[in-house]
Amino acid sequence: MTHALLGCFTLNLYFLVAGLGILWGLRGWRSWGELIPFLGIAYVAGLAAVVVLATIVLVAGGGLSTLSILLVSLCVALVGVATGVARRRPRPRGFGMFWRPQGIGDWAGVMLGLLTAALLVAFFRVGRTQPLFAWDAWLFWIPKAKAIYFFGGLDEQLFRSLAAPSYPLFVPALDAMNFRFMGRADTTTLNVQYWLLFCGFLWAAAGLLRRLAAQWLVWLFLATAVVLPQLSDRLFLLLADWPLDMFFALAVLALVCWLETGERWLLGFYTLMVAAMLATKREGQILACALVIGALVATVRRRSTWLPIVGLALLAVAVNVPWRLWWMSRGLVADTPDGGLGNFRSWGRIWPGLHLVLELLFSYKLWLLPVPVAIAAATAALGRRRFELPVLYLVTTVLIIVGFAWVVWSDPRLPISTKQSQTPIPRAVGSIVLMSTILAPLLLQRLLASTQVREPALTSSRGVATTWEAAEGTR
Amino acid sequence: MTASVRRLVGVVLVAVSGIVLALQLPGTFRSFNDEAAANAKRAVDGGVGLSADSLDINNDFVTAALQAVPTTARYAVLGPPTAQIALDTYGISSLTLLALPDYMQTLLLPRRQVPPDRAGWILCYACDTSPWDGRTTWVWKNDQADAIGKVRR
Repeated sequence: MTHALLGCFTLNLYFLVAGLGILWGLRGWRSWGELIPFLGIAYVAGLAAVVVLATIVLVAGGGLSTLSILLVSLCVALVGVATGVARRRPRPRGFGMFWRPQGIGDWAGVMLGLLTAALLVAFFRVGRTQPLFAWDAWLFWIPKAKAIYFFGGLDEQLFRSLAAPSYPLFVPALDAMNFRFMGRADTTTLNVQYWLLFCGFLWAAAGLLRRLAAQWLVWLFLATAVVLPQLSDRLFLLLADWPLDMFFALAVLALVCWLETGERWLLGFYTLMVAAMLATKREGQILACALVIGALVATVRRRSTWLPIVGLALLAVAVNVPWRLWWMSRGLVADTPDGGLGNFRSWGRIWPGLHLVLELLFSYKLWLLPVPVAIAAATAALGRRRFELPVLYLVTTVLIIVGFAWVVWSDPRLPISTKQSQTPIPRAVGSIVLMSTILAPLLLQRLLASTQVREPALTSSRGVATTWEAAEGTR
Repeated sequence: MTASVRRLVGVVLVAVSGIVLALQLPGTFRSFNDEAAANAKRAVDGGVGLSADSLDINNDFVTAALQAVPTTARYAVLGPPTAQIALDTYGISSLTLLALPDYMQTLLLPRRQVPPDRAGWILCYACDTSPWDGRTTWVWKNDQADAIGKVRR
């Protein structure tokens, strides 16, 4: 193993430790066996929390030295542990009962899980040696990261000279932290970071879905996520699109799971994911708005949920305000179309813009079929008494499509083109695809049958649901 | 829609998803293996060759700049006098010219890219070297009018 690779793994171990602290504070676990399915959630939560805090450190004029990264990670972990102690989380004892396959469905899930692992191993070999060549990556993402690494913080002179100077800092900060641990700005080994994030994403999704959908259904779609043609084409381009899409998909899933189970710890994860989305890319603002509005519409008969949905999203916005103040105070170019709300008078571009988004979203060649499958499942599930999940999914999807169409419509400099190099939309629609891929098991579960909830939740606010139908009865 | 119809829809959608995954698997494994093998070949020079090739920038020029210019140096990138000359005389496209300064900036960090009058090093990509010849020590040149030189102060 090279020094750079070892550094990358070490940094990610820090993220995991920080995330374990967060998870213990939010939820706790009674045995180490119970923790295993939640490791992905812990890792992604730790990564999101540490890197978002790192962006604040940068804005405050600090640098990302090994010591500061260690301190931020430790602080996150300790705050989580302190919260856990204050909330009297049980101390984990022994390995405890771990999930064992029962029946053909679970064994099919195991086989699909192994298939996913094999795909990820093959995918690792691609990323391990992929050079840097994506236009936006060398134009501004990587120079920003290198500047943070080489010059010890935000270098105003360089940022001012780069394209997209006001784009959020999450990805440059994450890349710079990797460079620090690698000991050099190794943009090839940096791909491993994004591979690890994708593995963490799949594990987190599996952890969230495991008590709400059958294992074979969950892993059928997680395996599908790995074979999406645009994933293998794009994950190792060192752009911010896939990280944004992963945080968004997990934010949606955490919110949906909270609406289904009432487990309040999921709201903490939702907040972290929204904060990471907003810190990753400007499109995160569209995605966050669409998700919040979609959730409000879906829960119109349960308005007690509105305060946490909106309030925690605003908290996630608040942690991103320092960066906005930094670039606005320096008069850098704004991160919205045309530096404002765009040109609304370009009426002639509305339909072509919408058509472009739909054409790219429903392209089998780019994305296979998770979006049509999830839309069909959600539409069929609308007839049931419990409509929150399909409504949330459909409204959020429609709003994102409208949002991306607005981007094309309002910025006449963007060509109406499906060419990947000319418009950000082919990358942007990945958010809907990934959300559809990990919500599809829940939506299809609705159509097929109810499923057993295997383990009681530790911190459910409304007691433990034993089946979907029982959960329905508690409302 | 009745429960049985919904279930039927669910079964059909699951079947379609399973078939799509099964159809996609062989090609995905094959493409992963092919890409990994191709990347391994390109990785000899840290991938610099491939990224420069993607912009049609001369690999030797990039490699020489990385080797010659000290990490604390300030440098400027100079291109051909006009885009027409670049294309007609050297076969350099406008895309290459557009990308060259930013690409070199990314690659050469922590070296600082500055305006020519403040530069200690000149990276000449088919540029007119005559204004610089008297006060520059050229440390690398090729037969395509690319040159790298240290400016004497």
